[in-house]
Amino acid sequence: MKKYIIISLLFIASIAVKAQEGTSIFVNYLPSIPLGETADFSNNLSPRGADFEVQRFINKELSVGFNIGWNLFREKIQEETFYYEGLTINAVQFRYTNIVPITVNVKKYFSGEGDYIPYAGFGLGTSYNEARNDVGVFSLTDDKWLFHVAPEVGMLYDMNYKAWLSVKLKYNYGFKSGDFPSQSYLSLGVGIGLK
Amino acid sequence: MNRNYLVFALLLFVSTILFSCHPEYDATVEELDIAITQYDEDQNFSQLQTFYLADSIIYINDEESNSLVSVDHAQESHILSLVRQNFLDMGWTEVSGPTDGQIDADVSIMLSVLETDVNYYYNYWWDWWYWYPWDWWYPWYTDFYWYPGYPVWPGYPTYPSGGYTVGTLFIDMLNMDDVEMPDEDDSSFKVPMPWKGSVIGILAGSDSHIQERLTTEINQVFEQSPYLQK
Repeated sequence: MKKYIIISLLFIASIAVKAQEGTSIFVNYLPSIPLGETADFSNNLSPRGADFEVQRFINKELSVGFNIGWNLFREKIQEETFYYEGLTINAVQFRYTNIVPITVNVKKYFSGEGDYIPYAGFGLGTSYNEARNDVGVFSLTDDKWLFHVAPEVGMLYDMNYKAWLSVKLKYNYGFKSGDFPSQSYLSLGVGIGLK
Repeated sequence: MNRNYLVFALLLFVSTILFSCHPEYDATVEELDIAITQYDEDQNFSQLQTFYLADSIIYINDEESNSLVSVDHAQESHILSLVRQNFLDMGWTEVSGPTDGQIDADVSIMLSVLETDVNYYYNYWWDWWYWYPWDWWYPWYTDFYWYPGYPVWPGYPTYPSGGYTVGTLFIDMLNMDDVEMPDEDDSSFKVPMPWKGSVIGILAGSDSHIQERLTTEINQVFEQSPYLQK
């Protein structure tokens, strides 16, 4: 999975750098807190997360773009008894949730003070979700593509004519599909953007 | 600096930070131990009061598997005494052995250890709920003078995925009160298995704490089966 993410990021970057002026490219470090059913399965703050984003500025107040991210949540459940497909199992569980949202988004910028530009945005797309429970030698894995929404608020700092500093708070929600539960988490993004 | 280089430098930096720390947990040997049980919900366990425990463990191997992992045979007496003590502690009465080739106990407890990995392949002809004598495969079998302790291929589910690995200990309960005798055109018979316990992979390789782990896991198999309590 990690390989695919890296390859995807590099591939998108290679396209993005060919974009015209008025386009910015962002890379954010994205530590996240799991919420709802994501937290029910793997309830730990995740320091492992990042996203990559391309934004095309239509004017000074509006941009549209593309975002691909990745977060890994994990939790070690101390030895306990649980039930699985008619079996009673007693073991330590190692749980992992990988989420890769892929969204298109729109952002509205507000006139800030000086070089600080606050914004609000909304992303819409899909996400690949994999929930894995490693129990001894067994690995119980379930995965699904979910419909994904991601509202966010943030602030850009205009460093110079070449770069932005970016801070954002982003809520991610993947809708339940079949037996696969909904996924949600809150991310704090800190990154840099190139104009 | 060219923007291309900056972008790739950024991506490389973030990727390095994210992936250099291994996201997988490192589990200790003890943390990989698993006790699994399964029971027949239709079985009235209060009707079963006496047990017979064979005096040895059956080692199940497969000539084709060529497993490189050795299985510890030295724990046999420790395992037998743990299993016996757990049944006695739960109020069962032990019956010493077969008379006239037949088991007098309500259930016969059969212990076996895998010396090979078991995968989906076996699921085609393994039956989870019944135990077949070795002679199931040999149509000329006609004699009823037998008792559990013969080499067998008992049936196990392949859940969870991945199959059962070498070193796994199985503790199987055969219901001797409900042996299904063969029809005239069927030379075999089968024995219901109302309860099964297993400890995955515990006897694979060598481990100085093996006795401690066996005690913990075998006791756990019984602890998570309260319906066996008399």
